[in-house]
Amino acid sequence: MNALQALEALLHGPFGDFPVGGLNFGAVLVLAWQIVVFGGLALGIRTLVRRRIRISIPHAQAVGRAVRRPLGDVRVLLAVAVVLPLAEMLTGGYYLTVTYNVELYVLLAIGLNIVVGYTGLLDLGYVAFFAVGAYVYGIFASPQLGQTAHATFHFLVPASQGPGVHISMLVMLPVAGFAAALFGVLIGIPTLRLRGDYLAIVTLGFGEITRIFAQNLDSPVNITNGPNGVTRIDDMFIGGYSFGDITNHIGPVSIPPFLNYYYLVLLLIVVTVFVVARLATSRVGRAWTAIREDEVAAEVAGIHTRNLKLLAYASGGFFGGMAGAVFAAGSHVIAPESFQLFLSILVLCMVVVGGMGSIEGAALGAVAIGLPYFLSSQLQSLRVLIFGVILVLMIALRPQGLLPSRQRQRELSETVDDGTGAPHVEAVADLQQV
Amino acid sequence: MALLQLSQLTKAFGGLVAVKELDLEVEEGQITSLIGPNGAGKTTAFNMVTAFYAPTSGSVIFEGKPVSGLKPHDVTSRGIARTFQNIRLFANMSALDNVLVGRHCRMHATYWGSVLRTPFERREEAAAIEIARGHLDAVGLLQRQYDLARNLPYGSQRRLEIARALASEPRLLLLDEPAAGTNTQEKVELAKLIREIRDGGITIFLIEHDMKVVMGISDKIAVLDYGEKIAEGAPQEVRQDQRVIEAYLGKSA
Repeated sequence: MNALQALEALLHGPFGDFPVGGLNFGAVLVLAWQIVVFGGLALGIRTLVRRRIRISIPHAQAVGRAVRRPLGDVRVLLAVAVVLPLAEMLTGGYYLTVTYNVELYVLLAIGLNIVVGYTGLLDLGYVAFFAVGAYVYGIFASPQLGQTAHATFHFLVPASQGPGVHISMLVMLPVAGFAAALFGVLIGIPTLRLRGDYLAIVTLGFGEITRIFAQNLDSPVNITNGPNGVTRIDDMFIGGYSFGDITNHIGPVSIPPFLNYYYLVLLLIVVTVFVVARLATSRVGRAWTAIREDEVAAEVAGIHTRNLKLLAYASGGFFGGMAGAVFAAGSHVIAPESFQLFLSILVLCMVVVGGMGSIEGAALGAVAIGLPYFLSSQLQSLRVLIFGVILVLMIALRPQGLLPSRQRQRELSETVDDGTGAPHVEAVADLQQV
Repeated sequence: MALLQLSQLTKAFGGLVAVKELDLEVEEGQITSLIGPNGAGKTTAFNMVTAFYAPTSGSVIFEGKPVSGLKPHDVTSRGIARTFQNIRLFANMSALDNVLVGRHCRMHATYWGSVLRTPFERREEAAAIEIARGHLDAVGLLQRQYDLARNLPYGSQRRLEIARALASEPRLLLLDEPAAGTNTQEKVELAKLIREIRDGGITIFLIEHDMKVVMGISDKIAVLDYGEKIAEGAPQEVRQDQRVIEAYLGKSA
């Protein structure tokens, strides 16, 4: 028995099933243990992020080669995205499920990119937004709400039979999004004064707290159904068209449920890219970038940094929440274990690998990491190792990300010119302190 | 009534009194300078004017209204802009974007307006870019508007910081050692630029170590030593003040 197993045995042994005064000590210890493990992992990632900046200085010339954009034309990309699932259907539909899941990663990565890439707030709790969106949708679109209402106010609410509340996705998607955005503001407020590593650790904690809450909010009032999760969640529907109905067909061709979800998420991605790209090149996006560059100078330049940081959390949260709602509908079941800290780290890696501050980078990073990660699920924990190796290779060989924003590309590739042709020593020194 | 009035302004960091009972008036349309040896409390005074520090006691009155209790960005929208002793540009943004950020508090496009690109937002953005280019032109950086701030030479970075401050349409401009690290030629140009800004109707409050610059352009000079004001007056008076000479050169000189 190695040390790790011993610790786990300890955690699950004497304290595991020994709740005292409503507080489960086992759960608290496991939480503490996870924070230590993932906190270490997160700090490792951050060190690597720093390191990639440092590495790039001596190799500035090599990195400086112009990055061509192989998928530069959005229309080509969109056409491929529209046709792709039709081709995949011919292979039996498994890859459709895979592609749909990768799409959700893309949506998450673009959302997180607002917070991390543009505004420079290192958020390791992004999974919380995904969870809030999923639970808001799940609770409203399953028997859960009806059952809880009956159990709590049984003299007022009759026992409900079928799935509880039925509301069109046209309402539920924005509701889930806004709930997550509001949640973003709520957890944003106490973290406003924190920066860098400290912010990362606190957001990491909030992400875990969210999951633990979901796990324990089954009493006194059963809101989330605790560790069992919310089941029998409705499929998305619009008008009389249900996404989960396997009898849907166009002419002789039947439409599998995941095709509906695939196109729904594709639509959400298009809307998200549209919104984020416009924000990025506006007064708001400029203020976000200024905060990333120098928060003090931004405040003195007249930017209401508090509100703009909260706005970044809310915007990132909105898209994460919508992704969560789709996830809940598509899988019909959500449980706290769907919202592990590892998902936050995974999405952060997508943003970093793709290239921070660039929408296409975040999307590409989501595919480059999400796809192999999803496909290798049978390898279990071994895939985390492989994934780590890929990450290290990536940082060594292509520190600026796959598709860096033009700005960051210049940032990492140009030799600093002070007009005399000599490298600007101060600027290089600055970078090394990052 | 002076544009900016500091009365009995005091800031203590624990036991260290950085600024002690400072009384000073900055008259509208003038260039007022604050000088003194290193560590005399000049930048601390600036930080209190921009609400970056809360004074331990005393008050800062701008246009007849107190600054205390405001946030730094509120102070900027009230009409006080500043530059920093150690340049604080947005290093990885273009020169133009730096100036546009300075204009942020004079723009009104909302979040949704930015997403929807309303006609108002488009007009405002286009106008802001025009104005920002004007400010860049005024400091001689129009040619390099698309260069990243960090790639500009040192002197240009100092001038870009001034352009960013001007973009917020201040009535009072605080310059913290704008000539530090610049060469003789640049100092001459800087003095000219500061005069032009003053002539454009913006009151200047200046911290500077370079005596040529200070003596050449100031209407009034106040001297700080160990947080206390030891002299105040026209450049000629201050230059001959015995306490000022002692503060700078030591008693035996």
